[in-house]
Amino acid sequence: MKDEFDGWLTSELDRGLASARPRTRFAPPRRARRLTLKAAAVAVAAVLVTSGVALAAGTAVTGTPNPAVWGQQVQAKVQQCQQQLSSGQHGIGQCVSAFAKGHGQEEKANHGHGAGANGAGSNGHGHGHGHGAGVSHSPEPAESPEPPDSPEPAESPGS
Amino acid sequence: MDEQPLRPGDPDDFARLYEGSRERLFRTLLAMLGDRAAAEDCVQEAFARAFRSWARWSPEAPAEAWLHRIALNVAVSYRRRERLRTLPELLLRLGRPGAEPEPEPQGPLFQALRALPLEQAQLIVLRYHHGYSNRELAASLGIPETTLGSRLAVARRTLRAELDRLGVVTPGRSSVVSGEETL
Repeated sequence: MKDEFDGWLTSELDRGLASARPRTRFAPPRRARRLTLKAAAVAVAAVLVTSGVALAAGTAVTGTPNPAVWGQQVQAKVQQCQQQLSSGQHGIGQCVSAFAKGHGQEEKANHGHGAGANGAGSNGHGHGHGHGAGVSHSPEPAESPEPPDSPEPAESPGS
Repeated sequence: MDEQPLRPGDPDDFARLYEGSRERLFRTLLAMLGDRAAAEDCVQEAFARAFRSWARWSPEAPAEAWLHRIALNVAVSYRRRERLRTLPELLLRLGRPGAEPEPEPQGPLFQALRALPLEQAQLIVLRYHHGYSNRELAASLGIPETTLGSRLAVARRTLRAELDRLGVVTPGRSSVVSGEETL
């Protein structure tokens, strides 16, 4: 039975909350995306940067320590690996990884320990123009694919 | 309103649910937590969790009530974390002039709501602001309607007691002095 107090509650709540809007528009959760070419390239570049062989391998692969250029090179390699994949081979990860590793070792052999970063005579400044879309100037993890749905337990009110 | 039924697991339907209910969910959380930023964060977290479980949603209960259930769990976790976080800050602030922002929305009703356990505060908002029926609420919580009825009665009674404690004159109470009702 609805009494006066209930009516008062409703009107007070309505008055206090009616104009309340979230300030920001939330980004709706997205569907897990398939690994795109760009994402794969960025992910590989990220791995290169975070691993111990980052500078050596990156420089060896591309001839420059500029991460933007590594991105381009790795992207090209990923594309090549994908083509191989479609012609019957498996394991794009292995293919790209072998590419990076091979060049890393080559670099190690060429320069001994601790390959320098200034072989290309550039620290990345002054190369800000001319890069098309899809080239990441820093390997951002944001582009990495979302993990597949995790088996999260159903929400329960009592928990 | 003639809306297409939502299909569990369908991402487009989830987007529809999101669009249709995010503001209402936000209002509920704002009333419960009294903090706009916290409410925004919790809404986002609740939708993220709901999305992960979307394929398992059962259409027997209204989807928005299901979302509210998830939001309650998120809010409970939030408040627990917040308590842990604020205790050292409170100790540091002792003796200093308070620069705490006013909670919102303001007013004695919302102050009283925030003093309630989150579950009770949420029930009040769902029932009296969003207009859910007891049946819908019971279905969404997975409890019998009679149980829901008693929980709601307890929530209402607690709220009223809190309002009395704050000295708020509500319909049916002409004035309150020191917690004792006088006419």
